[in-house]
Amino acid sequence: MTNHWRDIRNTDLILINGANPAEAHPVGFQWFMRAKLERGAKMVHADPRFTRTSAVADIYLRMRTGTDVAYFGGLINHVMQNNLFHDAYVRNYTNASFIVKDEFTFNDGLFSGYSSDKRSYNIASWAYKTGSDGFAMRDMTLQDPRTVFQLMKAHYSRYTPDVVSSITGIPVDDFNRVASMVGQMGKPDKVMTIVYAVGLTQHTTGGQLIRSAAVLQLLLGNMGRPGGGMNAERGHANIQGNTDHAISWEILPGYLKIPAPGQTNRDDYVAASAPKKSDPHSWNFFGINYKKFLTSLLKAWYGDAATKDNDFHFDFVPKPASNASWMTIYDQALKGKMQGLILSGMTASSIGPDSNQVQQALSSLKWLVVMDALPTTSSEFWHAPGATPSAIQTEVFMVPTTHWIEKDGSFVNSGRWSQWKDQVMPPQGQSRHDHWILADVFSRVKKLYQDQGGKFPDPIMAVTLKYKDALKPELDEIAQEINGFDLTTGKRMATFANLKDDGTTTAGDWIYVGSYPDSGNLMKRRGGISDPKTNDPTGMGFYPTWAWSWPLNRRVMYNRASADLDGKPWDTTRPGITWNGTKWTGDVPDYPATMDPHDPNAWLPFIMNGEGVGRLFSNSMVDGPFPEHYEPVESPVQNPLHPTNSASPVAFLYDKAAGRPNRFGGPQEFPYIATSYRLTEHEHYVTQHVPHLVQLQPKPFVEIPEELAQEKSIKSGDHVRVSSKRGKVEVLALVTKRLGPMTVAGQKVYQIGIPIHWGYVGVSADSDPSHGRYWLANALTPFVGDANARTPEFKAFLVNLEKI
Amino acid sequence: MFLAAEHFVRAPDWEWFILGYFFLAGLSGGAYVIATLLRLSGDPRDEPAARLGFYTSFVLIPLCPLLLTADLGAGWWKFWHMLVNVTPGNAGLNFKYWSPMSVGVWLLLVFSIFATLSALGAWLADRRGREGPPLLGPLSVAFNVVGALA
Amino acid sequence: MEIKAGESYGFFTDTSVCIGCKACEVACKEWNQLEGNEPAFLADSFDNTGQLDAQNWRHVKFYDRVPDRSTTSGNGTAFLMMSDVCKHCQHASCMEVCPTNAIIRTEFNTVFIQQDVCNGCRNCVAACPYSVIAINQKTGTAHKCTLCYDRLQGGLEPACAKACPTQSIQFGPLSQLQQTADARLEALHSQGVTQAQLYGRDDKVYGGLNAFFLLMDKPEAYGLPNAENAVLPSRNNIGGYAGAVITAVVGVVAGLVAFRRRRMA
Repeated sequence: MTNHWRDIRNTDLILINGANPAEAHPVGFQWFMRAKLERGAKMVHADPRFTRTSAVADIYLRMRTGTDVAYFGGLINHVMQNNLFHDAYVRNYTNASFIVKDEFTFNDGLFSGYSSDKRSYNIASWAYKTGSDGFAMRDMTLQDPRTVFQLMKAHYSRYTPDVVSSITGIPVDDFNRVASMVGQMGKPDKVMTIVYAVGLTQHTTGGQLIRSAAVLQLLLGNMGRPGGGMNAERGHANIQGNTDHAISWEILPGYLKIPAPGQTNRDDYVAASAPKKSDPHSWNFFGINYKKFLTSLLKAWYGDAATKDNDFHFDFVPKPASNASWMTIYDQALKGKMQGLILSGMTASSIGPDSNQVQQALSSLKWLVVMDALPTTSSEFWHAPGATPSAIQTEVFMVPTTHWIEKDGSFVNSGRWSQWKDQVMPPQGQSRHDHWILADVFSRVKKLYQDQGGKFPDPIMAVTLKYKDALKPELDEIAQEINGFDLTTGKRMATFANLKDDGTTTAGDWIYVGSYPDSGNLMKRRGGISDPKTNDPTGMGFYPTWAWSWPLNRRVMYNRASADLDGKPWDTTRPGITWNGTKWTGDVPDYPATMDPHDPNAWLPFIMNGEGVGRLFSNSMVDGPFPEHYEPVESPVQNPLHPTNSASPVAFLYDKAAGRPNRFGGPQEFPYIATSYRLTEHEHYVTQHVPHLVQLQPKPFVEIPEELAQEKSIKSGDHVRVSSKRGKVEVLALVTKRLGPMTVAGQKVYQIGIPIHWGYVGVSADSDPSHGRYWLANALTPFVGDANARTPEFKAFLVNLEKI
Repeated sequence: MFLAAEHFVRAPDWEWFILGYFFLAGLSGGAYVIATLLRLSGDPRDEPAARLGFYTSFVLIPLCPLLLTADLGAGWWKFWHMLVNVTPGNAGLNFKYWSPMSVGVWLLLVFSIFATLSALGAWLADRRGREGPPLLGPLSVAFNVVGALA
Repeated sequence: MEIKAGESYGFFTDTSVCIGCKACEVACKEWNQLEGNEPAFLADSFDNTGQLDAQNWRHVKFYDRVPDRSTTSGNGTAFLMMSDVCKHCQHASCMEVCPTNAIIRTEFNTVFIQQDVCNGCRNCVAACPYSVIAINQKTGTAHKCTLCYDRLQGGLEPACAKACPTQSIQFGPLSQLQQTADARLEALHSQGVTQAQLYGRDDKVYGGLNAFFLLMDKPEAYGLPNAENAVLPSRNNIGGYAGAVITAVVGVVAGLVAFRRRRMA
């Protein structure tokens, strides 16, 4: 989230896409209701399913899954054609005025630089025209046809209400009604928030689905403002913390890029990775500090071994030559290129995609370690119903870990608040903390290297573990390590602004610097609603002494953009930060605290970007600088915008790339669209062990539109088989009008809803005669990744439906 | 009837014990009533039949509380709570004239006393070999009929 | 909130903001240590609890009335969700019929079944017009929502209200809740949601309900008796007793007639 949960209360209009906050985030949803009840805010939910969120929304739009770019594109078009954008904001705070290279083109669904052999783009042409000073050229009148503004206007002019309707299935009238509401939100005294979750992410166009919404928010001047922003709801209590600390392969902690082969020193790395200043008034804060953040990270990792002479052991950092994302791991296993795998806190068999293929991958391993508090479908896959244990040679080790209620530590919520929690109960049985297990494994590996040498022991030997007990580090010690130290004084760092690139500072994750300064663990703070006067002095709900929010306890990111050029809030009733003549007041400013906005040399508002402004056009994504609608890889219709390039031309097709047989199906064999999701009653797969929650949703089911059910003589409670090219589920039917038929490109289509929570482990499976044999929803989902993050397409695929 | 049907939203799942109770209580009460009627308006030759009626009533009536108690299930040993309020601070007898079950319980008790006394009377009379209708008999009829049927 | 003996407390359950998350059901079971029933898929929207009973003292009902097309859902009128609970009626049917006086009104003006007094006669089960009470076979006693009597005594609000994320379930002094409800109703009416109505807020049903509701449709739509039908079980008494008396009189008269005829013969 650029903003935070409580801030949703400050909004006038809530667009919810690819999300079901009432069910997935019922506690956070209180702020949606507060906006509605206290401000009269309107809520628009566009979704394939009428959910418990739709039930309390003002407008529900039934929408075909995966078509949000068309929806937002249509809204962008409406705003641009009718001049409803926030003019001053767009001119001064976005790159609308930047002039794009003449080589940049977009034809028939392809941006310039496409190579069909590589299925990827050369993005050299997706750049600004530069002047003699090396900076990007701008036209503040926005009239030059090569300005981002004009290119964008032309790009989205194709997204007329009729086109939007034919792609999304939303009737034109309903779309227009929402468009006119959204169009009001470009006024300075109005603000809209967009809330999304993995319903946008988990598509082959996931990154662009989200970007299309962000572009709309920039046009309406809603980024950086209280009540505005792009707000991603994260799936688990600490998934935000996971991401911040580099759970995915392509980043280092704090969203620093993973080094690439050929980068031999820190300067190579920074040159290739850091944003570059493209406007004289851009501070480019991230770019100019990249090296400091990296160096402090290296010092945190390698300690005394990292010195100026050895370039702080940048050479120790892995520089992967190829993709190593989630699906790639199983792809490698399928190719026989992996021996072992450690799963910690997740179950590969269930989370898929293409669970059958994933289980085949697990069967190709020599050994598998499952670290979990409870049995999972991965720890039990070798004797799953239908499996032949004697044919599976994988040796499986179950290592019982503590559950999060058995340890302290922090949860980082969707709003970036790092909140320290206490241990509720001591570890049960023989379970051990995950970090103790890893510490123990590490110490044994280190000893093996020590005793036996090995190919490249140095990084292992150099890693510093300055804990009281290196085998049992305390989470408090790790939190301090993440915060970092000033090595010259021995004190903990208070801000990342003071990090150095000379090896005198450490930071385990630069965005968390300041969470645990010398004054103590700020994540433990509880200055809450018991005393709003003291704890929420601005009345805007920032509660700065409640826990700690990255970066630097800032509650709304990009908040310089909440005020106009003079430093006055766009809406004085909802200020983010305000220039009072000598300094910025309000939230922790995303800007130098005393920089006078009237100073001719004042920095532009978006200090982290090279441009200094928000990017309507961006080359940070590998599948296009403007979001464009592409069909899901499995779709019943051709893309009406460009039928020859219907699906994303750069989505990564794993099976094809590996030479395995095709595992995609077509609409003849699999005529129905399916989407997978969670229910409020369960948390992913772990609550299959919780009797009270199993009672609430005891058995796997699929939601079937009433009309289709009648066609197939299916009644609620009947057993049905849903199959895709990859596998099947055999579960119960729940017939409902909440999923209805829709007309897409002139043709009637049905969507089937598939909750994901079941498998062959847990209370329900144990008591069912089938033992949950065909209960894994992800047996159906396609093994394909989006071009940017290789996120699987869990939310749109084709299936067939039969009564059994 | 519509109201009653709507009111009875959930079946209390009273078991066959209750059916048996109603049947036996009805028999017992009926026997007692007929016996009383016989004494009131029958001729003296009916006195043995009347006594048989009181005996029948007496034999059947103890089965009734047993059945009722059995129907209570796991809480059977608290059957006497029907009569005695054990709520702390509110100890005393329980009687709710507006609650048919409460009324029924008391009527059952009262009727049992009458049935016992009447049977005792009949037995004593049998011992003496001559009739002797107790004055209480006719008076108790009204109560007993209502009690047995209510 | 200070919870004082002698004051009336209750729930205001605002169905217009209920999101059907069932946190109330689980919080209730956790606090009151209810095991819950055997899991069963009921094929009834998202409801697999089915009813209020000895194991379920909160029950979220779902009424799936979503129209066929893309729609204005209008503040929760298309997919009704309602967290049902014991109403703690001012004129409580269960309390009226209870022969053991196990059902009492507490110092918080709530209706409470004393487990040590109840002997399981099930008269209350039949009497409750809301189908709230059921017997726990293990203890042989009647169970229902206690309005977390133990928590109130300890100064804590009931578990369901504590857990409710959207303030659909609000706990407090009755007078305060009634004010909140009136304001909420007015707000909804002013937004054009005219079908919104309060249920049990005034004394028209069972003398007023301590656990009252804001509904998005007529009470019948939620399976609740309307004011006309909401009458106490004792209203059956006159009819019942009259029937018994008539039967008895007829029987006695018939007997007398029969004996007289015989004597005359």
